[in-house]
Amino acid sequence: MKPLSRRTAFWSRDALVAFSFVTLLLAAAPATFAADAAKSPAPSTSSGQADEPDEFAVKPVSDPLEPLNRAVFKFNDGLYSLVLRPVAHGYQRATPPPVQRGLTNFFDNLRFPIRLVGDVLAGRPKRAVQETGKFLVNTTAGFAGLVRASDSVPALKDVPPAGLGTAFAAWGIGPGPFLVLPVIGPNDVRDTVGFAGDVYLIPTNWTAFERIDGYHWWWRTGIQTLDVVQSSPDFLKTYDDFLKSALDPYLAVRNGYLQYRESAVKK
Amino acid sequence: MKTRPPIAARPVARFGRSGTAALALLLALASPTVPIFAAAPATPPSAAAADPQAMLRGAVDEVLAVAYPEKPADPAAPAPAPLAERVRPVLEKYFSFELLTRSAVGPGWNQTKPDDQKRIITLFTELVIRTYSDKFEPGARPAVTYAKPVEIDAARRELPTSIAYAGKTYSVSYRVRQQPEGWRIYDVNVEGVSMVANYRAQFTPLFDKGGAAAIITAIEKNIADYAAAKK
Repeated sequence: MKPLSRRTAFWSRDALVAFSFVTLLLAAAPATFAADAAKSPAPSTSSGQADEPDEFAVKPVSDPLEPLNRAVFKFNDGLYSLVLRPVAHGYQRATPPPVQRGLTNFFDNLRFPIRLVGDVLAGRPKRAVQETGKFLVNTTAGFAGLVRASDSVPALKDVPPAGLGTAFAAWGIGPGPFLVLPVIGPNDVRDTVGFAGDVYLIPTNWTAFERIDGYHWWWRTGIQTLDVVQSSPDFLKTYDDFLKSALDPYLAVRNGYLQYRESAVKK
Repeated sequence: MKTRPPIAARPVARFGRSGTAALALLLALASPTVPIFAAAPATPPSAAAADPQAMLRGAVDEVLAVAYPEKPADPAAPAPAPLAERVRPVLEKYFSFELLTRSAVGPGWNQTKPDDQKRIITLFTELVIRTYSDKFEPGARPAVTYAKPVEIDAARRELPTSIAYAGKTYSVSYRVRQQPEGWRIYDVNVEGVSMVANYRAQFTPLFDKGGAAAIITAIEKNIADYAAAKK
């Protein structure tokens, strides 16, 4: 077996190139034909021809844990109603909108290391530079991140989201099975691993924090709690909007999450 | 993202004769489905029919005018109708709800009886209009910027926009299709989530289990639950 595998390794690179080329051709061929088929008749005015590719075809979803996921989904729904909703209401009543916006911006700015590491690992130096620029501008001109001053700099606007999950995707790792995590909600295996790593990149979770003079454990706990509280109204708004218009809330959220992540990693 | 007013919306007179010719050429290049002579007059209605982005701008402006009136409501006047009712005529003008519903139901559509198809279109239209009008919140008017349209094929375009609203920016993309009456919207994609694809994922198992009747029951239930929650 040994010599054979050596030989395989020897020609494998060329074979890979040839294989990719053939695959590309095969993949491109139907697309070319489809484009021709769509163009050849006069501008179609009668909608929804059967011969054109179905742009909304349901993609196969990996959800082997669906029964468990549905149970956790239900549990989370109850938890949001019992705990998170009152918290969000109270927070919104107690703070004026500019304060809410400032806190959202502050915690978003604090997550800069996640985006930087994500872009660097994905091999996207331009975005890493943009993110660094955003962080510097918002931390200085934006008063420690309370104001998104970077939005007035065109080159720093609309930088696509990044984190370990998007870096894994850039390496070619697929999402894996769909998961509903307790409390946190919809996820997939790739992004769950990414998320677990991202947590360590948030400065408030760094151990260096503990070496500050006069550190108390409740500093960190307080900041983390504030982070959850300030993010709760936006989170619930998205969640509620989705659920209100859903016919099967679980399927709607699963599809919505997977579509969202697929487009985020493609950006 | 740099945005310019749509070519068709810019005043023609200012450009003079050669300007008009250049405009006609540009329009013809921009939308291959339109013969050059049709673009020459470039009055707003025909321009809206020819240029998908002009149609979308018109639609967005009309919706915003309804949702965010310039004049504050007269306190003496009777309370206005719910937003969903007020935006319905505007949306019906610019959306093809038939195409939208057909796309959301998917392959099962052709096996559905015409009466059931009609019922599904009516119900789904109500659900979509309600969902859409729920997105508007009192406060500052959202600012919409338009990016370059993407051609899907001769009859279809994707129109990316971004909406700045309450300190945040959302990417919203519209899919439009050439219909006999002009370009019509048949999907809205918010932050990468296509509304039609999302409903397709829910309709497909319903249809597989209980056919068109299951879809009708599910939408009716959603509409009833929503009305009950509002009371």
